[in-house]
Amino acid sequence: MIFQPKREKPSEEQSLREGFQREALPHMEALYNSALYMTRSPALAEDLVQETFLKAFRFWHRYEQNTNCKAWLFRILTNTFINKNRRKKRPTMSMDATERELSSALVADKSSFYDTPEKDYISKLFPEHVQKAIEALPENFRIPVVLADLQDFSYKEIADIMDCPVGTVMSRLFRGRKRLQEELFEYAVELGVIPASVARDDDGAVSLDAYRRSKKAAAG
Amino acid sequence: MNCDDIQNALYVYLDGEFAELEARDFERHVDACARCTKLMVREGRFLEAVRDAAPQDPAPAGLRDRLALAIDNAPSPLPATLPVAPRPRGWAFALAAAALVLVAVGLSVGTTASAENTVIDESVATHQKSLPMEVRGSHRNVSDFLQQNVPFAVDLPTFQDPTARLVGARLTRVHGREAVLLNYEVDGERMSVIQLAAETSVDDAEPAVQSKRGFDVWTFKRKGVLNSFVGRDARSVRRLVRAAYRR
Repeated sequence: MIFQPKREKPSEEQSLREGFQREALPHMEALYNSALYMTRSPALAEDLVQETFLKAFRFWHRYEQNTNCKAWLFRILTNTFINKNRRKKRPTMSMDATERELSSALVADKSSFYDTPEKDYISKLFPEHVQKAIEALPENFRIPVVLADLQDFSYKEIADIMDCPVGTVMSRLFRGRKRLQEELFEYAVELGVIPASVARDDDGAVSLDAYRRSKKAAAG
Repeated sequence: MNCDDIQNALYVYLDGEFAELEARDFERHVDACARCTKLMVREGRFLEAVRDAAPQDPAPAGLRDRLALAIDNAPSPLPATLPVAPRPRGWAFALAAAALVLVAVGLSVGTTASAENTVIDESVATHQKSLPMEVRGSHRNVSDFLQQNVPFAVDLPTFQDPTARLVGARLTRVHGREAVLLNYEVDGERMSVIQLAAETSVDDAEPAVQSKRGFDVWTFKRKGVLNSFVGRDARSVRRLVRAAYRR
């Protein structure tokens, strides 16, 4: 038998490619779904997923075998998305402004928080409303909400994926979910699940807070 | 815990992120408080409803095949980075490590250190070569190019300073790893900046400087990117490093 040293290499590469197909590709559905919420477009989502997988494959050696492959892929996906998006819309809200807005919102929200006799309007909504409401969230809030509520990542995983402290994940989730509630509530009013008359504030704007206030007034 | 604590920590509890002890504290209050119970039920239902109702659209037919094909045609993965030396913990380790450093003077100490030394050497070498840029022009052009070609989130330094102008960028390698060379013109002098993905995500407390072949080489880690600045005019480089670091 003739010694064929060249055969070693392709087979090593072959097993690398097979390992990637086996470990990374099964996460395609989850990545695509989240990409759809991030980009809001099937074509862009597909591009984003493809770019993510190509980058992941390029750096496959850096992935530590048997660690959290899904989180690793999501990190690439999220970074790629954020970087692409940053180029498009230039005057973005600074991180500081977001955080400031957030802390004042936390304080303002407190008083009306408990007065919530509304019926379970959310369960009367359609999936497309939930989708639209999530898509309407600003990127800073949308990403943690998608990662936590649709992909079941832990705070720690989300912090790693988004490259931010766990405290930031917590506050953005809080704020993102509150916005989501407002958004869904508006759909509920539009659909007549909740009467518009009790859901408007003094300026005529539909809001969950106004609804809670009117309910509270009616009860008291 | 009081009602305010419950409200603020509600999602943490519902997300199952509390340690057992905190969770018990939380539950003790909620069990005794009708208002908080209501709140918790409502918010729990909200999260559940979102989870259930949010559409999970399937990926388009053929995407998996297209991906498999794209990966088949992709070049082989880049070689792995060097393993990061584990950080010693505690005094005993610190002393042992210090002793080792004393013994090992002249040898390379730890892989992180050697990667950083390499970047310093290569920064000076590339700076002296005056290589052509692969992309020139505006900040936008350069960042688009980097976006497309660099596997990590490049942290393109920007300066308020009107005397500092971005000239262009090219891809390079440091220690076998992909890196970016950025060229700036500062008061008519060239300044080179090399960036590559840092091996640890811990940012440096402040930039460090080393002298190499007559150049001051500044390095710092920021946002997971290892930066290295080299230029002829030591004072303006130092000023720009500080500006880039504080951004």
